[in-house]
Amino acid sequence: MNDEFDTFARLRPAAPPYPPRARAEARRRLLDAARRDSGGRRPAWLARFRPVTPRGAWQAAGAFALTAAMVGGVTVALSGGTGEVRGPAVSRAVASDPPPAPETFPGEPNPQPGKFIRIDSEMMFTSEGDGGKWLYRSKRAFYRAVDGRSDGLLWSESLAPKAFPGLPLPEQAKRTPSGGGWNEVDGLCPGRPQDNRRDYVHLAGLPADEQAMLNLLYRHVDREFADREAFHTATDMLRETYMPRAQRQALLKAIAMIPGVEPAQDVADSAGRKGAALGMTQDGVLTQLIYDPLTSMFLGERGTIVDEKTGGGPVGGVVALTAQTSVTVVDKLPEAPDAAKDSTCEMAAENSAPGEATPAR
Amino acid sequence: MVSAHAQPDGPSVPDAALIRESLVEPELFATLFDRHADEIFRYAARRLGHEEAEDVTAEVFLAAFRVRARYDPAQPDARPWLYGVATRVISQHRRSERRRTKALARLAPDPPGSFDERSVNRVTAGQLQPRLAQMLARLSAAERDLLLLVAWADLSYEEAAVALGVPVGTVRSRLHRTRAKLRRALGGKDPLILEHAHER
Repeated sequence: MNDEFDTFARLRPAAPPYPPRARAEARRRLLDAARRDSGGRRPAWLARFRPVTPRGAWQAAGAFALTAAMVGGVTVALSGGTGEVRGPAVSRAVASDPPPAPETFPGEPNPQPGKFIRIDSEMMFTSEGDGGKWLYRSKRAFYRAVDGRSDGLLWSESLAPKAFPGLPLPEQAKRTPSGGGWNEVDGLCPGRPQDNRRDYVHLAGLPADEQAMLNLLYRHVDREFADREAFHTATDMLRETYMPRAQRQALLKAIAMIPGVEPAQDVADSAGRKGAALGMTQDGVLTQLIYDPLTSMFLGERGTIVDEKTGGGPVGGVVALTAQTSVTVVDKLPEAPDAAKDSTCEMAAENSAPGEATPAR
Repeated sequence: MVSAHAQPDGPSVPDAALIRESLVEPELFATLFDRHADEIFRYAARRLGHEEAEDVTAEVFLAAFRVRARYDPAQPDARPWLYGVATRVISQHRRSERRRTKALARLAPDPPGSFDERSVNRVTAGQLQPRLAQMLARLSAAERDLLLLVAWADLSYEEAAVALGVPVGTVRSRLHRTRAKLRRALGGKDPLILEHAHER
């Protein structure tokens, strides 16, 4: 090189050694894939074979030679290349739309473990970037295992953005990629706090009493911002989730008990459905959680500027609007070979014993 | 090609022979992991940080295993091929992880072309001198992949061509263009000196 490239070579960042535990795990995954590829057959002679560390590379060569000797008559033609060859199965990732939503469950769904709850939503929230601010809109389908034990999926599709009230639509918003994509959502894994679970089985186990539910909302709050954090926790428990009617009612009653929360009637969600609402004002924006007063089902959210200075726009400007349009129970996840990987559990596994994922503490 | 029979006891059983044999006995592919995993991990760690490098290294060997039937038997050393797989996995890892994180956070996805630059700044800021990180961010993804394969993985031009699946002439012209960009950015000075001066 001996030129500009030398600079990069000289300054290459130090790299830590491959942690033995991660190395062993990666190797195990590779061997698992290899065994599946060989149909799980493991010849008796191979039981003696132990691929080795680089330090003992000569042993690998020796083992390889043994392989060649043992199976040479059947498969090995290293220099000629005419041995029987099975091609690997190579899957191509192709983005595909989510399947049409199944017919909405009549009455109260009774989701059973082993199935999945699919929640369809349309959302609009404020996005910021490169000094600009706009309203990012998306259509989503969230699949979550009823018991949370197996992985779920999220389809998220960008819709045409809207301008933030009082501001022009920034260039970055216009360049937002259209279309959608699948995203993996890991199931339960060690290290993930139990309080963060949003699967049906967990939510069905929450208190059906509003005072106990209120205590839950305040369990981990910062004292200085306790009420707004409790409201945030409640909001997160309602978004893209489904829970039995008793827990829904307890949660809504608990939210109404949070200091600063104001009830309202006839508040419209993104789909135009009107319902009752519980709202809290923070930073000049009134965030209302809209629900059906008859069924206590969550309908959506509405964020409205109520203070021009702190809200960053004209009073009355809508800066968030969503609608949870359907909740259905499905037997299995759709095929999504191109789903963006969720490595949450893999990272968490670094700090816990290997084995079956277990509910976190 | 050298066969295992020809060198039954030496460490020089070529990677190509191992890969070919793994088509019949898939578990032998683990030997390729044993030979090269540490090197691929170091490269991934330099580009992404060590935590993500653990995931990436595992994915590189799984991906390589799945496409091993396409391995060019005329290349006895599998390192360039593995670096090529690593380059694609690193790129995909960045895009998909960020896309997923943003989707879960209900945030707008990155516009095309904006992600890689920000990612480079984010990833390298803690490891590489700021001025070099900025220069790296000015390169296209293709230029950056090639530069780092040459400068950090010590691949020859020919090996880099194998890794990226492009003719060696493309490697030379792309490096020429990259060098010109760097020279302009450096202003003919050694960035080491600039950085040290800046630190003082």
